[in-house]
Amino acid sequence: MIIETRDLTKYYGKIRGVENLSFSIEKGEIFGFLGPNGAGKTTTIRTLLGFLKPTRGKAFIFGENVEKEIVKIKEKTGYIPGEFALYGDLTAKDLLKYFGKLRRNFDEKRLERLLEIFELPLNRKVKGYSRGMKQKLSIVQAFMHNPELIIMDEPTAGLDPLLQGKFYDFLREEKKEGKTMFISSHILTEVEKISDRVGIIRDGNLITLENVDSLKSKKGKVVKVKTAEKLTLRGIETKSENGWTTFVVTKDMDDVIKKLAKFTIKDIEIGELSLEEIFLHYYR
Amino acid sequence: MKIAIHDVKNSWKGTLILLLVFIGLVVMVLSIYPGMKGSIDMWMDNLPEVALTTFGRSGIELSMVGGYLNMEFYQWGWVLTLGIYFAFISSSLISKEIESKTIDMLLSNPVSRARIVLEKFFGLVPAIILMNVVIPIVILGCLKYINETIDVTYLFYTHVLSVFYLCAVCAIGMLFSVIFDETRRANVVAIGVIFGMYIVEVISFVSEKYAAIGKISIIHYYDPGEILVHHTVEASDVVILFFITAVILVVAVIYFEKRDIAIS
Repeated sequence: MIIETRDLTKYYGKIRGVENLSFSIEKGEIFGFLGPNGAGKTTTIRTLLGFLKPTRGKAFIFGENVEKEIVKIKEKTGYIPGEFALYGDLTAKDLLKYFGKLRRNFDEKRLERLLEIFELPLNRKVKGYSRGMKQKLSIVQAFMHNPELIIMDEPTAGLDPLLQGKFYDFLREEKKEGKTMFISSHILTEVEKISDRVGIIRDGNLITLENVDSLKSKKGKVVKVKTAEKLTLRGIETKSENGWTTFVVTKDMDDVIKKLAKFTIKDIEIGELSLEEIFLHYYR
Repeated sequence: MKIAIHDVKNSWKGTLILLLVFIGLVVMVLSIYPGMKGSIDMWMDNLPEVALTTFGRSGIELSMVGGYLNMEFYQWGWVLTLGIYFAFISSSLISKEIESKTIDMLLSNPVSRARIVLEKFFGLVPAIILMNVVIPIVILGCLKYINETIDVTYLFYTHVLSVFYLCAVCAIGMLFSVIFDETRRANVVAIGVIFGMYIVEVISFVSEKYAAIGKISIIHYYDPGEILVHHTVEASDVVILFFITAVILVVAVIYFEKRDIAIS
């Protein structure tokens, strides 16, 4: 077991951060930590990494209590923070050199390889970096000491699709080497591409832990249709507003289309289920 | 010591500017001494009693260059201004990392919070030592130029104690630096405390009634005039300043280890 939490709870004074989180992540697993903004993803990550002290409960990484052995844990852990607050006055080169010195397993060759994938203007001061460049730098520093576990807080928000693809390819390669990854996101489609298993958090509570495959089976489409007549579909719960009828189709799309064909369709929109809609549809 | 070394490398420009400003100050103060020497007695007769005690805690000996330096340079330029400078710098160190959120990156490395506090403190020591080595040398150079002499031993002691005094100032700054998330607030409080201690010490000196309260001020334990003019060095002052530094640093470490670092 690489990560284990037992009833991990964090309150900020009276405000709830997360409550009674219990989950575990195995070696070599890519774990997607999914939830809408404000659900407690960052609080969980910051508690795991020792930035926040748990109000109740415990968390273990590599079998060590995060409240006691966090320095030991960090020797084998990489972290990509949600906000790319890097030292603006340093050049990327100096920043990487500085952090390299603070880490035991820093590996110059590995850094070179990372910089081939995630190209960076190394001699420019970080404050002149674009958001995407800062993100690449965050990725490079998190992986440069060859960590066994990498914790990432929304690592792809702001990466362009091309780079996102490169990043996922890189993660898959790392996975082959037995690395464990914890990736938070509020976008299902991002996490499902890469994760083996997903935990869904909402309002500070872990709603479910599922394999990605079974989560994918919970996919569906939102259909919004404007018809001339009043629309009723047998066996499907619909919602009507301003002449538009909205409903979720989870399996037999063909059947639904054929039923719809009997009506006069003025307009139609079909879209992916958002995470929030999956919550409403499956986990209410 | 890698964090300390990094900080020293990163702040050398600021330290150099500080050094140049103080060299300029010393040269200026001493260059007008020969011209003033003759009229000092007359000038002093016209000064109100309170001003004398305020600027020269250990009495006024302006007609000797040591007393002149004490009043015109050490009391306000060194004890107060340099003290405030180091309070400002030290109180920024960790609060700035929290405010700008770089603390997340720093703490993603395998370093303990205690190590960060201590290394950031030790990163200030080279600047303190540099000031206390170069400035007395510049003073001796200037004195030679204007044909004045000073007891080198006591000039040396003045700066040895100054190292302990400035370390205590930095420890106080570090404490506020780990308490506050906003740099400006940490700066204001730390500078306020140093300035307040200066006022407390002056009040305790001016009025017999308040003599005891001076003891709560760290400035009470560092009086360049006492050393330069009266040639008295109290070993207990060194011990007390060292003790204050150590205790405050321990408190800062414990506080920083225990606190949450939340993102606001």
